[in-house]
Amino acid sequence: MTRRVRRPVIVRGQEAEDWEDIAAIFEGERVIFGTLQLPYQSRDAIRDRVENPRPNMHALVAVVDGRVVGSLGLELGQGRQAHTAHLGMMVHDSYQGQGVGTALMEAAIRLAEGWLAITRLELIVYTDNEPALALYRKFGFEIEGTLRDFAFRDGRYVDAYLMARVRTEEPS
Amino acid sequence: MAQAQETLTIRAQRTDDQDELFLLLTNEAALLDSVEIPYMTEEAFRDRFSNPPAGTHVLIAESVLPSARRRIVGAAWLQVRRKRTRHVARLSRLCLPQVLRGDGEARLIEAALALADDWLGLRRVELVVFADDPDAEAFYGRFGFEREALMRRYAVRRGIYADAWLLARLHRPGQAVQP
Repeated sequence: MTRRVRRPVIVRGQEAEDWEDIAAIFEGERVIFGTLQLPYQSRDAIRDRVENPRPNMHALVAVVDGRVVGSLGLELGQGRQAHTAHLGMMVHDSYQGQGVGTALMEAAIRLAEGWLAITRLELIVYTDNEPALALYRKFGFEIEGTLRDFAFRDGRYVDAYLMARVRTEEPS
Repeated sequence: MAQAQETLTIRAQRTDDQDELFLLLTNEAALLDSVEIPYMTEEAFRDRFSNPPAGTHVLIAESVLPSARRRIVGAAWLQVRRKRTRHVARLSRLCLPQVLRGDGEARLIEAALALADDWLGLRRVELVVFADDPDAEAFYGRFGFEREALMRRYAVRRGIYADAWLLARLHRPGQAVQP
């Protein structure tokens, strides 16, 4: 067996035409298991979401060999929470563990902290999703608490961690 | 001698609540415990009032004075999530100082939880309180809410980035008993 060679990952803003690749990511069993997505989603609904993003949403995609294999959404808080953003991400089942998540996270943090002055970046992750937890810890996310019975997954209610990366020093 | 007392009613939102509810949403003391900002325009309020997000249940706490004059003193919003979190709701509330943390707010919370437990069959209700509010945990603890996460720099409050607790209350619907 030959070991898969790590290919370069390019991160860019999400385009409307990415919807078909993104719809393919949504079909992955591991993607569904690890997120809040439902199986059997209509491609129309996914297309609509990609083509009409909400105004407070910044969406990034990761491209490998010309194909979108990862996506990350940064939802900005408003008003008294304008310094906060909520992050959600997913990587195609066949491309997990190959640096795609790392590339997306690096870009998202640069965007959030370098250009949007976000000082509280939060996300929610299932307590048993070890690869995701390792990625988030690597980027300085800390567990703030356990949300009991947070979501339903494959027949049972499961707990999740609320994690946040918080910068306490103000940008000058 | 017994005097006619001010009484409190919990009821659904009505179309003609618009003006009174707008007063509650522009009361700075009430907004302090929320993430709302003062000086909301009437137009923005009207839009929110008439087009609430799907799955939002609104409860109004109305005080009835002996003179039969009525006044909205509090409101609660039970917002039910969707899809894989459809068993979860976020409870937010706004109360005027005279009912805050008192019997008035207690009645409002009880009514919202009865709706969640007995009619919607929800499993998890979440509520956020600011961390520098020492009475909050004891007050909401009475209804079964427990601390889950300390959210650092959750929102701006009185000019500082304030931390907040995410509290949650779990409820498992029971089984019918066979006769």
